Amino acid sequence: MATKKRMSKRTKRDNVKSRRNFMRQAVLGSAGATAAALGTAGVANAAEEDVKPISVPSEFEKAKRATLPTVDFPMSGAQVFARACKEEGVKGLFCCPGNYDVVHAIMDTGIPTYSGRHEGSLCHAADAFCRATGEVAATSGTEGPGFTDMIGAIAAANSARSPILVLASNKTIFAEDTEQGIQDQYQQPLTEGIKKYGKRLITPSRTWEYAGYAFRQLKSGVPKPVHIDFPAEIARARFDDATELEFFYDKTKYRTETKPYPDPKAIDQAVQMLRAAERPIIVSSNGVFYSKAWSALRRLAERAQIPVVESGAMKGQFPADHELSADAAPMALMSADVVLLVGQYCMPTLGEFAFGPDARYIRIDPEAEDIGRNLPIDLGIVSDERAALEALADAMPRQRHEAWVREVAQARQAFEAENEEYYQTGLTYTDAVHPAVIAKELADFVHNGEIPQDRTTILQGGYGIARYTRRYLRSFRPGQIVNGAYQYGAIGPDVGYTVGVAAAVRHGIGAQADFQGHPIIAVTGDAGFGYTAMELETLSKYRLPAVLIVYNNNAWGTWSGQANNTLGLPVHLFQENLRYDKLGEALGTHGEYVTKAAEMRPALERAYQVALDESRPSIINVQAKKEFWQRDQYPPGFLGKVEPGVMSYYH
Amino acid sequence: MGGRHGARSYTPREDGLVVVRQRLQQYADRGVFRGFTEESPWRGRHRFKFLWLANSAFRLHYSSESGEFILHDLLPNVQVYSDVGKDLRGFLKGLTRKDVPEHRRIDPRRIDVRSYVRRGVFSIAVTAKKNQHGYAVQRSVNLIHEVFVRLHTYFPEYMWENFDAPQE
Repeated sequence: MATKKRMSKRTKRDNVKSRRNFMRQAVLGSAGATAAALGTAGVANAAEEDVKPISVPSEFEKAKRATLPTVDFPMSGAQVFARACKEEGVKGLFCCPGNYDVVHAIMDTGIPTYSGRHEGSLCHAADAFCRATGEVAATSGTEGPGFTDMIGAIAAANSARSPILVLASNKTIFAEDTEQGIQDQYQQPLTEGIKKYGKRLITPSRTWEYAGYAFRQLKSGVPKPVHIDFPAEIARARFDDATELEFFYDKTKYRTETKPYPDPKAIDQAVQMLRAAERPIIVSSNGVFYSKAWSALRRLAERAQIPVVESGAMKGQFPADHELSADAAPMALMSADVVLLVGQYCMPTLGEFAFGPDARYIRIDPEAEDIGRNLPIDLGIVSDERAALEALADAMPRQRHEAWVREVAQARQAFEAENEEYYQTGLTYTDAVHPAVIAKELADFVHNGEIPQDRTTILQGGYGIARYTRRYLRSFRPGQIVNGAYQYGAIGPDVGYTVGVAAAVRHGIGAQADFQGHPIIAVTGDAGFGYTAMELETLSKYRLPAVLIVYNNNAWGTWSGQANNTLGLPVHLFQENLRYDKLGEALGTHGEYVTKAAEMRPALERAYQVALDESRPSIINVQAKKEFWQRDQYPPGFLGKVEPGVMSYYH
Repeated sequence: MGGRHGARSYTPREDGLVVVRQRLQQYADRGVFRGFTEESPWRGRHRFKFLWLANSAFRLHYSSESGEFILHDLLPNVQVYSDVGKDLRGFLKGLTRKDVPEHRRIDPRRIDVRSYVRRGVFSIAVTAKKNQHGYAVQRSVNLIHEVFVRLHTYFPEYMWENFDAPQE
């Protein structure tokens, strides 16, 4: 494949020259304090400038080769909890230094652990890891500021309904309220409303028992964050044998793997509604992913010829190239007369989805408490998503909805034609790179080139740029696309998310099992990039092969609403033409700066090649301009959204 | 509520009103409208209010004499020759085209649809032909929805500024 071809010597020489120039400028510009070099061993031309190259400490390699210790009684509280994490199948830990006892105990179990630059970013990484894999991830921060750094990310994970296990150390129970030393804090009240369950552990002997409380919540029903804080008396407690722990028994005794099954009468009613419908549609969301119900979904859709549209924090439960995919047919959604919502945990209000006022709704959800919230239902089915879809697929007679499927196909064609029109229009703007060009070139690269279309896992973040990339990028298998900021609407998690997605693919966890080790692609905007950009260093030090595209339009996404506000406008602007690519190079990544449409594809190919050859991240800084959001000057301007489907943003 | 008129006897001319009330009440009963009320008639028009896609109520005025429905003051701050105004006029006109799916197409044999702007406020008028009141009310409600989807899709700034739609 083209992307696996070696770069030509000429190309290599040019790159070296470019890097050398950068090195020289970096050294001159910062009095020798800054330098960038490439690869684990560094690069010779850095030495020419008498600047030590960026390198990954040898301790990383030693740690990789180290044998895991055998941990058994006597154990600390941290080790007891870590054992529970291992036995419960926690697949990753994302943290910053702090909460040492717990973090180190978890690492000793062999759970892949990534440490970054900001607890919030690493909490975002855990969230994205869950959304890419369908598995539980842990995140950790130290007491006080480390914990509070995570709050926004916990809230985002809560909105996305991600099963993250938030672990934070705390001061001692003994010194509670004294403000002795530093970082004393009540944690649990601060996560009120953004977690499923939380507990400050206070009785050492109940550590294992409370691990059970945590995993019962994480592994059942609708997932959300669980927050456990560990005062020192817990983490450092010593247990000589199992009798010193309460309820120390296997997970099969403290929770169940069984799921709620649907009421047969409700299934009959659903069958009747679907049979009577002329234009039924299925909305597949988070619950289909977490219950691994994609096969049942497909069976039902094909049996009754029902189109499927996706919403949610991740996409790919139904392949975009299936004739029944309505994911890129937004203008057909208004025609649906019966909507089957499956696992739609973050439920929109009427009008946020595109379905019309005559549509009837069936909702499948494992939690009865949520059915009927926001969206009026005609039928509610309390059930695990997979169980309900299997029951429906078994009960539904074969049906054909040819006219409806044709309408969906026509809507898809119209949508693709509109995308092509946007792309062609974008190409006419030559002084900067238009978002439609970025999106189209990226989609062609990952879906329509020589890379198999289902291979590349994509973190689809950003704000304004997302309104374009989401129109062009497609998902062909579960977990292929992780949507960026979800209903919480945080700007800035994307580089953190990239760490989580890249780690998920590196280890081939859960839904990423068949795609282990392949490079991933991430998209973000310049405003969001600023929040978590230091995680480029995390990507680099762990040699995670991620290609991060930064849409650089010199402004916050909010600027367009303020274009005529002379006094207020500076609030919404950055310096222009910032070199985020050089920032990446200074942190150990490969960097590309794209200023013309024609440079986009070659930059993608070079960055992908670096990911393949060196397992190293890249940043592609794509220079756009803020005025692209002004429709009267640069049509099509800032695009809106309609959910669900390709333009699904919040729910 | 529409029910307060339920005990009245109806002349043939009022049949349209019965249908209109009934259809709108059905949307309310199904939860599509979050709130629904009928105000006292004014100048021969029956006035319905309902909460639905926005935080302020929509107003639908209906004349049983002429069979005309007016989606009154539907969109604020739309100038006649603005991009939004031009786009919506074109959009409404296009709904009669053959390539629009039949269930969403405006059938000109059954209703007339026109729009107008007065003092910067965009309204839509739907006139039922041949006693097609049920069709007219159903299309009127769907038109509101289709117009809102279109604005969310192509004119998000307008929705932020005028309907407090979230910018994220």
